Amino acid sequence: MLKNVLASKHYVNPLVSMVYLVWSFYMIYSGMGFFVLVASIAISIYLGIARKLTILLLWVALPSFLILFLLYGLWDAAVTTLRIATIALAATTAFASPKPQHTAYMLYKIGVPPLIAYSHLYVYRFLQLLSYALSEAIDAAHGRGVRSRFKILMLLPIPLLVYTINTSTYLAEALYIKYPRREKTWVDKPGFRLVDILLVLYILTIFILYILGHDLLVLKLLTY
Amino acid sequence: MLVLENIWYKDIIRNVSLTHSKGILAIIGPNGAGKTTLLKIIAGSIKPDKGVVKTPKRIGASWQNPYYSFYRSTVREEVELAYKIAGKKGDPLELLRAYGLERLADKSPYRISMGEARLLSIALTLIWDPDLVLLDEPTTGLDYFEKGKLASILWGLGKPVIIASHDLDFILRVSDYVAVMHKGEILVYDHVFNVFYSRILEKIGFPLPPAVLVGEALGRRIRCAEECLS
Repeated sequence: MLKNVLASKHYVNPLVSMVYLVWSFYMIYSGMGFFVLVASIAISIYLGIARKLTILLLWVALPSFLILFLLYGLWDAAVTTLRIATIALAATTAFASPKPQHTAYMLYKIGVPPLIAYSHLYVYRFLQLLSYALSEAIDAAHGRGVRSRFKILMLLPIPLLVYTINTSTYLAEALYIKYPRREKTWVDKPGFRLVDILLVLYILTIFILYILGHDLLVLKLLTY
Repeated sequence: MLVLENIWYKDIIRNVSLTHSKGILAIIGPNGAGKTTLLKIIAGSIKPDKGVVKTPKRIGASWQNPYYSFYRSTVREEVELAYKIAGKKGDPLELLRAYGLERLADKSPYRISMGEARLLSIALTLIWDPDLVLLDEPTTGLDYFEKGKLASILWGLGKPVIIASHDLDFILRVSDYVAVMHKGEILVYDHVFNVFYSRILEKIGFPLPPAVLVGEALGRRIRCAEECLS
């Protein structure tokens, strides 16, 4: 998924994605999660991460559903799971949608120290490396005959920690080499594109509908 | 027995079919040819988009970065853990001696050289007695003597081994069969000598190992001498 975010030509303006995140949480809080769900699914399809996100969501949603079903019954379990899934989907798409260089630019412009804005960019790269290391470490454990998932979970932190410490040295070197330069090649000025305008229009439309039309039947039906 | 039938995976593996049941099979090819991906498909960590994969249940593997497979603070403890995982009893020092690593017994596995780490990783893989052994670039970082040690261990294994490597000299030395991969396809799968003398390696940009060139030159001289004598 991170690979998609870093390499994709599909992205959203960081300011718009931040507005979208705030709007999402407000709408979910107000019981209008359905519209957030629609927007999140649309964004995830646009970003090309829908399939991976579905797998991730199933991991989050299924255990919650099973526990809630046992405790409270089908209806409450379904509604709460849907809420959890909507929150997870909205947060993931909001954070995955802007380009890291654009976010770095925004952070830098609003006065966040350049080192932090720059580090944020590296976190993306590092997470990608870590996810690769994780899959390699799992393969290595299988190769040594460790089959039990629990055992793998117990053993994995050691090679991953060593990898992280080793890689952080290279990361620090890269930071040192690039950071002091005046020419900030690691930021990119974001623009407003059609996708941003469409998203803002959708957010505004739903928000105005919600403010003006509490009694609209369609809104009542879709409340959860 | 390993059977791969018409395997496709993204653009990396294209219609690969392979059968291997005995001896050492080497997969060779340039970078990006799909060797490691094919090994991962065999190991079961990548699911192919299309095709049939039939493998033995117990597959041992040593991957490109050996440091991912270490969990303990000393090499001796690492071997003890491997014995525990395998449910076997054994003397760690004896095993390390067989691989020429006994001097490293009390060192951290993360502090040993790449070649030593690779040998250790292979040793740990072989302890649990898998039915099929996969080795990805096993000779990277190994010196001449370590390569010799690894070769003799592989000969003595007596179980199917698949090696993905660039090291043509080592492959010529240890393998029984060779599959040449190029752009995700297997161009040739044959006995090692047939492959090395078929010139297919030159066509995909590999220089022939000196041993093959010497062999060819000797063969020509013998033929020439025979013709002269007759």
